[in-house]
Amino acid sequence: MTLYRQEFAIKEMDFIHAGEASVQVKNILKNIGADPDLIRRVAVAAYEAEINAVVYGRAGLMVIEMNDDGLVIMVEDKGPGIPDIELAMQEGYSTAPPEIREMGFGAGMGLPNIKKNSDDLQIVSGPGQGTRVVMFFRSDWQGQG
Amino acid sequence: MVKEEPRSKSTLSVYVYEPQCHGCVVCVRACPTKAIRIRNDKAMILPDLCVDCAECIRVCPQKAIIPRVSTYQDLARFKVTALLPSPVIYTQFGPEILPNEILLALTKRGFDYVFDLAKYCEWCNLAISAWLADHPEVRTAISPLCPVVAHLIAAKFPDLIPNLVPLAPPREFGARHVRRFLRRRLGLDDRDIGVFYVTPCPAKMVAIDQPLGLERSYLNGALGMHTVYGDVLKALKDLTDEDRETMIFQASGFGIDWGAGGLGLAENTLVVSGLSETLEVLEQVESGRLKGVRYIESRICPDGCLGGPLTVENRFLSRNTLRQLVQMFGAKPRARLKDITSLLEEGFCLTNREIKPNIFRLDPDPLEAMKKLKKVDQLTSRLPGKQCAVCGAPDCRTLAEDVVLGRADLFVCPLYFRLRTWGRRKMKLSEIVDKLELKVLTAPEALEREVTGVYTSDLLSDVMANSKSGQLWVTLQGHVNVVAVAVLRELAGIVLVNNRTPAEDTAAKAAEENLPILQSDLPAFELCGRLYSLLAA
Repeated sequence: MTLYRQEFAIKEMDFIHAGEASVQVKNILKNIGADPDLIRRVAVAAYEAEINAVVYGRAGLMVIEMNDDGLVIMVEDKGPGIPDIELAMQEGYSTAPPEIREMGFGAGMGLPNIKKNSDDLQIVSGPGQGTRVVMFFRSDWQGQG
Repeated sequence: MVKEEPRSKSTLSVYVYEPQCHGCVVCVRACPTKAIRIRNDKAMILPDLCVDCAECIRVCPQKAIIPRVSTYQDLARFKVTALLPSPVIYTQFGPEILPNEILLALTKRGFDYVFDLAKYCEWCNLAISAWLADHPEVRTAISPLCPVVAHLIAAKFPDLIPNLVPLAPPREFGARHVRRFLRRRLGLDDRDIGVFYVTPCPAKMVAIDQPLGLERSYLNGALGMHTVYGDVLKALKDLTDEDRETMIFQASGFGIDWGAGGLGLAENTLVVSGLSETLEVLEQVESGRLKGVRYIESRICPDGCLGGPLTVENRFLSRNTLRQLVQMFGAKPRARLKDITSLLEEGFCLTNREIKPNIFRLDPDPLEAMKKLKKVDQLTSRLPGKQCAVCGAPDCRTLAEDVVLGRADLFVCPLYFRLRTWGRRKMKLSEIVDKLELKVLTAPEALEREVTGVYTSDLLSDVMANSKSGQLWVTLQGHVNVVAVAVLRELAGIVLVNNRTPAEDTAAKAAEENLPILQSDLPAFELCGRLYSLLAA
């Protein structure tokens, strides 16, 4: 059962507001008193996914959904898509152009970081299809009481 | 602030002087933690949300928000009094007046002892450097100097509590040292010695009453810099050459600068001032995106303590004076690590109390909090979104939160009325019957009709003139003519209040016309009130 749901729009190549959706997700989790470790993992994974959508995305959407057994974050974009997901999952593999790398992004750590911090990760993508990243974080919402 | 005991109003750094408060919303909107509401036309501070930044003092056009600081009367309780003024005071009288003269002038005001806090700033700074060298595992350490920064961390970034350098700030370090000195020298009991700070901001008063990280403060109070300013100015004129031979000031420009402005430690230090600026940087530290910064010297006031709300001199002039003082006295600390080695070994300036997170939550139970959050989202989307603060909350979302937490009524929003005019929200008559437990006297088969609003009047001609089609009519008249009026005006039905019963012919006629007549045991006022909230909410 969905306990809480919220959507955030992500704008393409908008580096001024990049990361704001993840900050809001983090603040929501703080305000409901979620477990600090969960908050840390969600913050990292959501940020990485958000930046991917900003850099490659051509407009995207972040949806957070809290259910009885945990938290789902879906980040969806209309970008070029990932031709080889297995390759993209390797640490250090990146297709980021030089100007993006100059800003400190595009180190090829994004997807691996998401995988490391989430309990389940599904990526639906292909050339010309955009990308949908769905992460799951298990939680019994016991938090800090 | 520590969460165990909820804060009471009397522990805040400021209070509202109600006779002066006009209930405008300037402070409400300026408060960075959204801790102020207008209630009964007066500003009210929510103690749990206040972080003592004193922004409200700066913005209040009525000067109705008063800093809570010590007064000269508070000094009378002690046999001996000692004063430790913040080095900010050295920047308040222009570069021609030297720090030592200011300290001497203060001795004329009847304090038994006046000490130079800039020296303790240098000591504290050395202690922080030593701590940083010993704790490479803390990647980005945060200065313990500004109490509001510590409050903010406890309230918004509890993950960063371990990043706060666990050392007492210079004022506590100094007060403890001065206390020890006076005890030994005068053979007095601790409680007979009153050590007072002179503060550029009221947050220090809170930090003395409820020190974050310390069991108790070594200070007995804090006088506002604005309180002593005039006295210093007067006493400066009376200083003799003989007076001037006494040397109280013992620091270099470094101590003044760090105490007043916030010049950082040597390498990879970020100096931040201002509240939103501090929030932004803390957010980055928390997210791990502030790389290569070893130490953050963050102060809430603009331009650091020079911009404190209790300072008298404009902060740009203060900064200019400070620069000249640093040139005059040198930018290298005069204190040496060997001066404080024994104190460090003793753990003299370590904090001795854990800082606890103090996050604002909608509910202690995460699942309940989620439900409330959902309600807040829903309510927010129904509010006008003008962020006008006329309701007494700083913005629409905060009003929604207050409503969900039971702290406010939705109808304090003046635009909410207009947005929810009658007819916008329709309700079936049957629903109203259920919710208000009305008794259906006639035409039970006609309850599925929509009610677009309510009209109440006992004058039939008034109802003829002013009621609108689809409305429910609340009245005490039970005679047969009401049926004709209701039918002519195409009203949804009639509710008789106070358990009134319709005349026999009325009921018969209503049944014939398929007009529901309902009965309530409530008087008209109560019934209309319930109908109103039912149809508006």
